[in-house]
Amino acid sequence: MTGKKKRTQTKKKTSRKSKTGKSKARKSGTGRTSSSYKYLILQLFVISLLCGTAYVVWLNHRVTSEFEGKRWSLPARVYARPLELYVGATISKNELSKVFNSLAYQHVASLHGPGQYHKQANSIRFISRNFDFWDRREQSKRIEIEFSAGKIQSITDETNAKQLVIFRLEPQLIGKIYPEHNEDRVLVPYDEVPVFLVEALVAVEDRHFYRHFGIDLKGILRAMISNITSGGLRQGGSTLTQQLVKNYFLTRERTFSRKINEVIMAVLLERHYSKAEIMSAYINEIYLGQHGARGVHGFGTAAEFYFSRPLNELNNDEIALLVALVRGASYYNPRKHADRALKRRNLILSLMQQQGYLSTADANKASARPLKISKKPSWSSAKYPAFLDLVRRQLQKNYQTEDLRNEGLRIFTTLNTRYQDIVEQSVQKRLASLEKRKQLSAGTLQAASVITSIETGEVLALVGGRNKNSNDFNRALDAIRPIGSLVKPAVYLTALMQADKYNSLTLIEDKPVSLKQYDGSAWEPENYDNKIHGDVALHTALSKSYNLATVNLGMQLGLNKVVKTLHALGIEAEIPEYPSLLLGSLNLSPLQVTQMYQTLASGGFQVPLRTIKEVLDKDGKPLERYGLEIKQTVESKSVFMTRHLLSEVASSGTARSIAARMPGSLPLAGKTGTTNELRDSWFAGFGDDVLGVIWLGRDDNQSSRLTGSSGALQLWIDIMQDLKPQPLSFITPEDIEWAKTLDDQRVQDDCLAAVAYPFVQAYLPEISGTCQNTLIQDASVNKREKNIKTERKDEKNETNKDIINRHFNIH
Amino acid sequence: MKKTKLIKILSTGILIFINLCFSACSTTSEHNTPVEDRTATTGSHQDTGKENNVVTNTKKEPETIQSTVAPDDEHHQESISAQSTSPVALAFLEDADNYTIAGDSARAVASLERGLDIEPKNPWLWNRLASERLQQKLWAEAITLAKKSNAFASGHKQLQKDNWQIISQASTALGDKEGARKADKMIERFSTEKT
Repeated sequence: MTGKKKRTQTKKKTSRKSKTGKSKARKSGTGRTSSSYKYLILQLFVISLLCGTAYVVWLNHRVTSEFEGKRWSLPARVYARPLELYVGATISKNELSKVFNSLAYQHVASLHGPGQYHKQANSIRFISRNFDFWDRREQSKRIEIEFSAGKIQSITDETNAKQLVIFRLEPQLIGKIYPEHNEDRVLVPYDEVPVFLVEALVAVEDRHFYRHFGIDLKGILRAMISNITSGGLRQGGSTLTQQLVKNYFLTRERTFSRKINEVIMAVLLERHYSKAEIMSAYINEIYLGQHGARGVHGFGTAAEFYFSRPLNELNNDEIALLVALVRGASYYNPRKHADRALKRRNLILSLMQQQGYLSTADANKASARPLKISKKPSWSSAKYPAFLDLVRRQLQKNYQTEDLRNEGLRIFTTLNTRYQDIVEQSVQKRLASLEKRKQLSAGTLQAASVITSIETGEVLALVGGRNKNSNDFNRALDAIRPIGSLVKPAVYLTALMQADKYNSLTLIEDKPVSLKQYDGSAWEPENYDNKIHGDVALHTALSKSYNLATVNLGMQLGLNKVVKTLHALGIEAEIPEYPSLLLGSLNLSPLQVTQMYQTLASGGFQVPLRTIKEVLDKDGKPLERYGLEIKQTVESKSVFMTRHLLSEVASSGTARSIAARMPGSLPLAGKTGTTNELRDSWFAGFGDDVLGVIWLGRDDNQSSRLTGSSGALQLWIDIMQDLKPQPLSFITPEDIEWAKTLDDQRVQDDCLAAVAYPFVQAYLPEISGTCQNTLIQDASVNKREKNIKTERKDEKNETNKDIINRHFNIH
Repeated sequence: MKKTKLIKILSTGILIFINLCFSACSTTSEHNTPVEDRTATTGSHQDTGKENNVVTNTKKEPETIQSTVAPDDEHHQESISAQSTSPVALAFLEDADNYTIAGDSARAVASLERGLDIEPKNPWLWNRLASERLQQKLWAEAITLAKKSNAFASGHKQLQKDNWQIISQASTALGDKEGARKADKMIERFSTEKT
């Protein structure tokens, strides 16, 4: 902007100077002799020569300094996680085809170049693209993937017939962070520019490009004649160099002085730089379309914008279309004026044929092809706005906004696009059906969801609301709501951390309680079913989410201890020590809740939730890597027992819909949460690999008419039915021992009707219950104790299935 | 051509075997300098000509590995259990070794973490990550990662022992005598359990 202003001011100054000069000349001319006229003319000539030279010198300086110092602003490119193809990976042929489609691979009958794939009966063959990852460049390879029963059976590198164990596909581009002046650009180095593009530009735009010195007098003449006589293809007199100058240095106004500048600068440019340098700059600079508020500049960007593919993968007809846009990107916009674009493309192809760049057969073949413009740019920033919002916030901690927008950074994220799509679709469907069922007006319910990978803390999917508007409120990060019963596992974990006093069977009182609040008022909570359950075992109190039992337990433990546990689980926010905290008067965002449950799910190891894995500069040079950070903040054994309690919530507690709707996936674990007047409906749940937190509610804070079970949980199940989480594995920690229980009392280990619970070895309860159907005749308790201990050792090697069977008493 | 392939198969096998068995090697003297040892052990394969990518020949034969290295029983058992984990994890462990040999710890870590994305509960990957951190003298991280490995290592006694060795060494470096003492006790327990 400033550059242009300065330029205009200078021009004005120059013209003012010359006017003053002329008027002086007129005044001095009256009453003088002819010799003095001659002298004056000479003087004027010298002055204008000097001025002209100075002007040219100045233009020359501009041309060289700006051309050489030109650094294009490149938007940052944000990528999803790459798909890892490995032997044994669960992915079907059709699913992989979908991935190829989203990466804009072309389905072809026979493979010729990168970015193509071919489906066969039980396999897919493809040629991958070169791609620079943080750790290395993945070279283009010709690969065959064989499938068997929905899994990858083998991966063969066809170039050397080697069997591969793993192959990494390039990731999907999911967004860009644009420069302030809204330019989009993908730089293409000259050696990667298709020859056909250069030929087409020369053939159509500037036939004498390699012979002229910046301007083409013959060309201008020919264009004039051609335009008058043919009325067909409109030819311009500007050379490519002039067009470049126009785009590069000058304003768009059509004035005579600009034309003069254009001509001088074109000649100067040619004097200083080679044809290849000029062509390269032209290819990366020229304006070829508009994407919302953003200009599409250069052929690399245009290839991505119109075909979602790299420039070097385009066919001749596709290149011809891009060349067609040079003359009028808006007039020939193929998305709006397909007919016009097609016509012009074919004119270009026939021109190429006339000039001998294409055989008649090839030209005809290319002309017969449809336009095949990609529907919507895959990196359209509206696609994953909530996730990109989190990426941007995490990036801003380490990078200046300027660098993010201009330096062409390449940002590798953790997003799993398949998961993200599943979550988004599930949100749409479930919210609409809930609104109908609860007679809420359409569009009132809102949702937020975070899905993470448990051990590594990577955010796999994130939904900030049901509308995919990029300016929408990002509820996953910014909706700070009371979490209700989601807080309870922290209370029970605090209890289980005191193994000498509490275990899963410990009885706690579910009886009315009156507590003084911070404002002096009495707080008298009630159970959701308004009943009083008396003495209940710890595991029942959590799985049934009894409020009174939890408050009594929490007060016994001490609020400060519960707060400490919450911090250990990863809540960084300040937590007020009020009794109502025990029932979830704590306000958190879905993301914060996810962090808390992450620690529970991963056995007490806290991993900060991450969206960014690596950052590369525009040339693919590694800049930053955000590795795994992990610390143990809660001891494994207490978390192990809490996890076990949470699995009971899913099998027979408030989240038993999981057992009903996903019986084959058990055990899974989780906790429902509901707040006063059914304002918020929460569910946080996990399997062995994936954690999902869901919030449903309304922006106006009115009742959603949903409990955690009837709302968020149902959506969670919808999602997980597609994500298929691994059932929880209970790999028993060192000091934990399983023992059988019946009616909340420990019984002999051979009791068939009993259910196993984990206990801290040192505080294993005594056998106090009796079993009706003992199989083993030997009644010696001591011997049985010994047997259990032996079994414990064997447990270390037992399969997950064994544990599931035992845990759920399936024999 | 055939010969090169054979050498490659052999070297790949040896590399994996030694990497996994290293954790099994547990005399006290070795354990005092495990950082150097690791590098030295893997370093002996520096000129095997392996590419820096995750490619292994699936037709690897354990017999070849055994006859080459002639391990004792303990090593033998451990290598078999490790090899039975998964080819994917093995590929990443090998990849990490190659980077470590090249002195590129950052890429070794990146490779192991990539493996963990696929197999987040693989104790071998966590263990290897712990030893990488130990080499980098990131003691606290090494301890956590070794504990993490132990959380998934039940049934793999040698691996657990190696994790305790990492914990012991890192705790000593941190001046945490109590932590080191506890770890040493565990090492002793695993040693006696074996015999």
